Amino acid sequence: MKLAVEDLNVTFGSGQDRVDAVKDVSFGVEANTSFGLVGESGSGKSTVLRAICGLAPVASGRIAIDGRPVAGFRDPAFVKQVQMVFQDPYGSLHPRHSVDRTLSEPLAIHRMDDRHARVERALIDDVGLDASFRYRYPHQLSGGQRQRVAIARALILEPEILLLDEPTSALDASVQAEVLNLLMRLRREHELTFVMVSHDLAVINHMCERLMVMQHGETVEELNRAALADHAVGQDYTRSLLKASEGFQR
Amino acid sequence: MSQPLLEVEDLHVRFHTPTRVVEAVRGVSFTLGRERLGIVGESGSGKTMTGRSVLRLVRPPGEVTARRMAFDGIDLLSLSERRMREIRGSRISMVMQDPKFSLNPVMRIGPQLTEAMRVHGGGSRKEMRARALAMLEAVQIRDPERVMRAYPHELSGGMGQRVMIAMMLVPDPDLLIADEPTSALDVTVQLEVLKILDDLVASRGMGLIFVSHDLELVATFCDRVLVMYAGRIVEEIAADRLSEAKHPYTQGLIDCLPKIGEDRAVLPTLRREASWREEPVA
Repeated sequence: MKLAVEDLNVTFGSGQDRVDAVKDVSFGVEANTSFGLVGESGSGKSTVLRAICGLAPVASGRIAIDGRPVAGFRDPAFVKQVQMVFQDPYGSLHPRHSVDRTLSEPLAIHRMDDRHARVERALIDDVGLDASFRYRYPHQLSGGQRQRVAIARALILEPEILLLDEPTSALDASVQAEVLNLLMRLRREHELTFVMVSHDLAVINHMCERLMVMQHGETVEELNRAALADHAVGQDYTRSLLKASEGFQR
Repeated sequence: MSQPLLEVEDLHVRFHTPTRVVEAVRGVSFTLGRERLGIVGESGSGKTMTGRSVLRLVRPPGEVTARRMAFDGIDLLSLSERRMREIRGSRISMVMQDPKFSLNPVMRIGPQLTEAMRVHGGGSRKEMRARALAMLEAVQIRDPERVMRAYPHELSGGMGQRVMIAMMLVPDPDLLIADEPTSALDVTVQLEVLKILDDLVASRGMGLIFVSHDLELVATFCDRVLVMYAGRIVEEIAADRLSEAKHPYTQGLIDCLPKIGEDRAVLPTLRREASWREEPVA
């Protein structure tokens, strides 16, 4: 198991203001596969990703990568292994850093050599932008191009696990298709493991072999792609999500 | 249908910038009866500007020109700003995308609703309050008393959007322009809000222009769809016959969406042809 999450609980605040954002969530992800987390806003799906990175207050539970538990402060070795791509490509890139600086900074922090060539490789070979993008700033890029830069930034440290938080929901449908294709190709080429969060069941179905439906911080059910295709779901909530994904019905 | 509710002929929206003129809408024509019309396109296709120009809400440096733009026989282009204000809100209403940015954050819901009524007719304080409560009930808000007292930040996205719809319906308009009314909402909430809109349109015999980027949603909700690309209508099609779309852009938009139960390793992507910008409507 590449990534294992067991009985994860995340709580914010205390006393009257206590919010249980994630309640007893467990799942495992095999190497070189994609695992999807689906749910509506407030279901705790993004909080699970943040907890894996150490960005959310874990109340109890275990998180393990390659069988080794991770807890507390995440060291540089963890950061090199696990990277995240955020939803909003407008908010997740530093507006006053050029693409080159955004991509070089992680390399400098981790004292990696050959920076120039690595940036070029990430930009051109990995995400399919050309060299002219290298010295541009985020405001000079379209939404799809920004998301490609955000993916290049995540890949530059050569991670094994990529956490994707709604990577295409801010994009137009045709651009979404391009980014999803890009992610699938990168997963194959770099032997990556994905955990992907989305509210869009069809996107998760396209990308992920297995998925988990969440509601109010709890697991509703875990499914594989075939079960979803056959509508062989066990819970009413999943059924209502499936129905909603087919559009409006009179 | 004797006279169409809205006639738009050869609509252009141009933005004059110091260096060049950007044409956001280039020669759009359509008519609307008491029906649900969808306008679909990607960002920058001109769909929002088309909706806004009907209400004359395009601000300078934007410039709107058209050969004809008439609502219920009234020429909207030559109307004075004062007459336009009488139509805007009372006969044509608009629902915006995100309730977070469209409601007044420092005003309780109740006063915001009655303010709309005061502007359009009014009545006594008690009457207006009763009407506001009735409107909130019409959009299926279960505890309207509490919502009247609430500030916008105390409401969820779905509730906020219902309040917006209630507010737009207060003056009983003939035409509702909804610009991405459900894009900021969760899928299941989205359908509830659409159901409310649908019932209201049917029961009041309103015309509806539904602007959206979501082709599949529009196809299931509207009667007729206009597909826009680069400021032009590239295809007009009955919503239930969308699968027979002829224009490669419309086909591309449908194909590039992932679908449940399909196993495609690679999604087809759009190859944009330069000719799509100029060709007449298919």
